[in-house]
Amino acid sequence: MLIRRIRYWLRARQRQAELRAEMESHLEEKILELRDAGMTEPRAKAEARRLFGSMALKQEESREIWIARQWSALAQDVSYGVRILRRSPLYATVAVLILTLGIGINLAAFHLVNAIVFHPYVLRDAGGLVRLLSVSRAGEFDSFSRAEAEFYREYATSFARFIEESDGVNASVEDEPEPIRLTFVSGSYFTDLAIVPAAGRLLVSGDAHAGAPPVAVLGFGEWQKRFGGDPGVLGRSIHVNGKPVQIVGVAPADFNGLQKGFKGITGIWLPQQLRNYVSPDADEGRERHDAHLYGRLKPGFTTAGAEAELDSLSTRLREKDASTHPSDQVLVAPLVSRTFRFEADVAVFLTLLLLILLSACANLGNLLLARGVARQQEISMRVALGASRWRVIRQLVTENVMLALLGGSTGAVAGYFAAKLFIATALVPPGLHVVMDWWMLVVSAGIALLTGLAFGLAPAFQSVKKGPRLARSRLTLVAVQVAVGCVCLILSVMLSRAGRRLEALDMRIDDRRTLAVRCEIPSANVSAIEGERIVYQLENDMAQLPGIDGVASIGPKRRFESDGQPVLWTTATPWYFRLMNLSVTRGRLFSANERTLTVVSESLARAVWPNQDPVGKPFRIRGVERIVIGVVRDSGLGFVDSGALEAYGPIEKEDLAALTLFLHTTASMRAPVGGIRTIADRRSINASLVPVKKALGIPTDSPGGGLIGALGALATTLAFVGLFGVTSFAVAQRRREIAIRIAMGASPAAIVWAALAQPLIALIVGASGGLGLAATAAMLLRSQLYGLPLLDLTSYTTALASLGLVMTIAILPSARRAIRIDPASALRAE
Amino acid sequence: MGRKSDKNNALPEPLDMLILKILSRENLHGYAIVQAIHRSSGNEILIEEGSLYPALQRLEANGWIDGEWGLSPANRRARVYQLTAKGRKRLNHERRRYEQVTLAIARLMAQE
Repeated sequence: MLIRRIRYWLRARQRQAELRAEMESHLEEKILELRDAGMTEPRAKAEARRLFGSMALKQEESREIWIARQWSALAQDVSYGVRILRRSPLYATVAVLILTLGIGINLAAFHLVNAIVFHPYVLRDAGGLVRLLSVSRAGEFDSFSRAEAEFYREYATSFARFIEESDGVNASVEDEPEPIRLTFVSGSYFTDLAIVPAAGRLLVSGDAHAGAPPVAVLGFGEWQKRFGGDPGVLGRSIHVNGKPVQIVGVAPADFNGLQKGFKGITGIWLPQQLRNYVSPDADEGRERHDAHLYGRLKPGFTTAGAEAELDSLSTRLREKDASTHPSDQVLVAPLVSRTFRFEADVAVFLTLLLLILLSACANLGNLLLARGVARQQEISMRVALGASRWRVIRQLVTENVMLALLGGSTGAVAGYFAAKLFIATALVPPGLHVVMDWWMLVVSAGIALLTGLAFGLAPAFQSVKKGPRLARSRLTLVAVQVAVGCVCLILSVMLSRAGRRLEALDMRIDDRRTLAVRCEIPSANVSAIEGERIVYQLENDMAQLPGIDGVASIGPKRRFESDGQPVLWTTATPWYFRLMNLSVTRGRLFSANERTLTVVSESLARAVWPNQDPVGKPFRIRGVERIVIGVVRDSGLGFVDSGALEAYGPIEKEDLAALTLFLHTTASMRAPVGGIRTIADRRSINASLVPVKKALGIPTDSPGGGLIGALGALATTLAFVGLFGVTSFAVAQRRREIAIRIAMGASPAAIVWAALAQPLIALIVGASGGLGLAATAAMLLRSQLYGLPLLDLTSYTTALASLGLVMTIAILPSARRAIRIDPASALRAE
Repeated sequence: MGRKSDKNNALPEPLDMLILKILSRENLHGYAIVQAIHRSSGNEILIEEGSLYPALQRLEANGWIDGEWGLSPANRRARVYQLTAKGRKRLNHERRRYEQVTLAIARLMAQE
């Protein structure tokens, strides 16, 4: 039966015409009959028509037979809805605008998640690629030791393609002070991935053969930045760490390697075999875990089979040479995984967005309720005329879903372009692109539909049931809105305060006049005293370079706990305190050869020895007792590193393996670069330039305070509108009661309380709920707070004060109106 | 409408039943159906001609009759209707119900 109907509807127009023809033919036969019976032509026509009845009506009736009843009712609801909405264009526009905002913001975020998680690569057939993961006692890593990688490349038979990519390495190009990121790849890397060059050619296996001329491929960004996208750069020779290599091509703009997570943009791609040429390592760095492995399995081979093969290979390698640290187990997983674990901050962010959408819906719901008052008469009339409750509710919900779909489609467009705009303007890895796939379409439609039901269902039921009242559901909506506003405000204040900590750090160091050099100094068989001497000699050499007016060194920063207090331990040479502008507030700094002394920060002194002079006190550092000799100002680095307090000691022999030198120059940053390399080469030190901030451990990613700040403003505005609506409604509804109270001589405070007690309670409940939520969210965002305490009082009070102010402004007009009700006229009007 | 009668025991839709009955004898077009009903009922039943068409559509939508373009006896192009197997079953069903109901009514009317 259904099939017949569908067939009918597919040819509806034709069938209608046929029916018409059929009826016309019937009429003609009738006319003939009547004329044969002796009537004149015009009379026969008139009589036939009279006998037949209205043709249009019959046609309409016939048509309806083919429509299932629900469908025709839906069509009615929709057309009625369109009429209603066209009659109140302002309401419709506001509703659609609110929805566009709410839905658009959410979809933009989903687009970004979709782009980052599911479409991170612009590769042909990325689905067939696998990544190799190394599992050992220390955990699961995506990198292998070079020796292990080499072994697998040679012996593994499960792979049709074996693809290798190194960690990024910093290098100086043409002695520019700003380091450039190099990535070393297997010879057939680009061919295996079927990547098309933006200019020239990419690397081929021939480039990786021993004795092949050294060639390089430029990253697209580097090509634009350094060479202005000049095609003439092909064939030119550039110096990478002082070694000449020839540029043969440019990688495409949307490619930045296969590694997960954004670690930096690769400026130059080099074949693996050039690693020792441009950045020599002792023992060719065989033990270094910096090889990332990918591949394409041979047809018919499974990931499980490949895993088994690699496991047996790693066992063989361990028997052969345990010093290469082979993995205990190797995992083979698809490169683009369909499963996705939400990171805490992404989850918090998306939740906030959804809450804001909910908040927007709540406002629309309130708007709808207010309209419900105006439409009360119409609705009761329809119920009185025999419309079933359900039918009226359906009508109202249809209206809302229509609005939601309208807002949803504009929101979908807005979200798409917002995400594109974000990717175009923010610092994101190249190749990140917004994809409109079926997944996103489903999400868009789902959000729009849910929204329509969310804001439409409750008010629709209410208007039919008892007419709009200040129902519990409405108060709940306001409480939720206030809570959302509260969370967003608190988080935005916290994040911006955390951001200011970073800025303060940035101010501390003069990074436009400071070079950072990471050095690996061979330190086998070096005594403690010698170790310190080697560093001072190196500093002396560097200080001779032109334009250098100060050199400092630090060892790797280490964190440890002392009596439950996290401490950031930095070993440094004395000039470091000048470089970081850390003035001594008590005692003095250590000098060379004072290995049992320590200098602590003001915060640490305050925390460990409150109201005492710390100088001369013993302090245990990593199991060794040291004497505090001085106190310096806080640098802020400790806070950034999850709220640790700082302590310093003289440089140690262990630091040689990962020493960072800071060179402050009075002249150009370029001048000393060549000299640094000469000194490093002479002492056979592996040295590379690193960004100063990175060397100090200052995070360079923005903490997202601005974004959440904008959300906070949006959420607060929504809460403002919601509260304003509810309070004005409360006063309007209780006009009579208030009038009586005034007539009886109630005080203004009592009047306001009587009128607004419910909204005020909702406000308080919402705010306290928001406080709890904010604390939870802050815990999840801990890493972004740079050591700001999770219950940072200033943030909470600032946010609550501004929320309170805004909410007071929202309530004030209603309160005023309540007090100024004229009892005489109010009571008369009833 | 047509389907409603399945659910309660009210009188069957008489027009539907008559059309099915007439078409069980021979295939006819719309105009001829009106004539045939009129004639076969001893000139007692004259159906409103316009109402025939919604009824035909209803029967067709239910799959009880099939219409096809052909020629009327007067050599005019007309849609000629034919009873389907399903329609024949329906007719039997309607007839049985009709008998039951008329019997019940007769019995009721006969009581004092």
